[in-house]
Amino acid sequence: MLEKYGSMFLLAGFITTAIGLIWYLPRLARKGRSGAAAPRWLIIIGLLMIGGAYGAVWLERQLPLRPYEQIVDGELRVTTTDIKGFDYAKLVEERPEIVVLQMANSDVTDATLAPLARLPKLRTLDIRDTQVTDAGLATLATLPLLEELYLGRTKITDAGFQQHLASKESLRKLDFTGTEVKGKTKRDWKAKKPEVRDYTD
Amino acid sequence: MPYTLYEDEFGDPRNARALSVAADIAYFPAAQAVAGFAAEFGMQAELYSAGNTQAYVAHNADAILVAFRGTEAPTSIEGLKDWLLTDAVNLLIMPEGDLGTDFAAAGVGTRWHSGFMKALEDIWPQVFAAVAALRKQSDRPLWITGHSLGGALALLAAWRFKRKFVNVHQVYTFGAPMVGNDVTARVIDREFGNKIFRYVNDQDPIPQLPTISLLANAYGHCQTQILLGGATAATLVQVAAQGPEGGSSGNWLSSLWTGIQQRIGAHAMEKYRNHVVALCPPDAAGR
Repeated sequence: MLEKYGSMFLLAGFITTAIGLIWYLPRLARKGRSGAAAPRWLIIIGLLMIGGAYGAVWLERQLPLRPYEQIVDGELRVTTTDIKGFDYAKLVEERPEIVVLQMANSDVTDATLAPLARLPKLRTLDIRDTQVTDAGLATLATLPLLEELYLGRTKITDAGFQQHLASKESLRKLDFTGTEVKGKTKRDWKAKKPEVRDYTD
Repeated sequence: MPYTLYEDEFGDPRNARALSVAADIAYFPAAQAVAGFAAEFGMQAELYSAGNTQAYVAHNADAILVAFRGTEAPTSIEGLKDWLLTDAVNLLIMPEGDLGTDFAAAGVGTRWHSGFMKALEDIWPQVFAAVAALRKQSDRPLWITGHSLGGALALLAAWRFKRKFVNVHQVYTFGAPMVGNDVTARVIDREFGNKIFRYVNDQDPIPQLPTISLLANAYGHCQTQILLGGATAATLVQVAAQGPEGGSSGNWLSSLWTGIQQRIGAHAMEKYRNHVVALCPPDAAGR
């Protein structure tokens, strides 16, 4: 967003500076320095705009990362992937209406998932690359509307999946990439509802 | 005899050779390309076109193949449109809407080339529906390829297919520019491991682009690069210093111009095909 407006500002800065220069140089030749104050100001304003655009982008990059939140088709979707040490209990308390939550961070553990049990509308959850084990799957099994689950490279086991999620009716799409879940377990899971179920691995 | 895709070989030059042919065919108009996919791959193909972006979805009993068309030469009207509407919209952004959800999943610190994102957004509904329909008939390995802009789109499409729970078997790109910032490149590597093969002609300047966006967010490449043409390419400065080949009658400017032309030529799909073919032993058809 900032880059979009920043680049417009940058372009406006270049144009302003160019107009200023075109105005300034003939005036300077004709009237000398004292007669060219107005175009000189224009050049300064243009240069400030260019500097401001770069400065704003630089400043934004110094700020800590913020969650990416948007409402799509009336659903609240939140992404915290890349943000370490995020307070999920607070997020759940403030935004219980979350439908999509993407939190693929290496500091997420089974304990981090506990508050998610209070997200009754959660449909899509991304916990790739987390420390989540079979114990975390027990929490996820309680989510009534959970349809899509990204489990890539988590510490879950074949037995854990079978115990907690294999019979969960609401689940439709699963990402098993780099997990221990066995090929047959995955195929059997899909074969129960081949019309709606799919998975990646 | 049609080309074979070796499903169990990853990064095999024979796959690269076959897919370089597919990436080349993707530049042809529909009738010619459909005939091309039938002749070279024994595949049924269909052209999908939206906005300024085109892709072929082809299939046979053993594979589904998506080939994205690249930027046409900027000397034609179509090519100029490609450059102005897609390649030159060189901002690093986080997209919005459903596209935003899929790409934010790579991390809130990732930023993506806005022109390529727009191109993907245009073509995605058609390509995804076509692939989904084919997978319903029978699930087969999904191969994705493209040259230049088509290679960038191949990479972005691979990411989005994965987010939509469709396995991507292997991706081969030829002379593709960068699609996002350095964080993006790392995330794509982690997700796809050794399934993405990025072929780069040593003299081709396009894969070096875009180095920075208009506002100084740095771009980055994902890892697995296969360098073609050896390390013999001289830099432009060296070319200019050497003077023209075969004597000292010209000036440095003309040799610089020759060097620039060589580099632009190095981006041509044909050059990539020649290089990739050279990596392979001749196949049963003597190619």
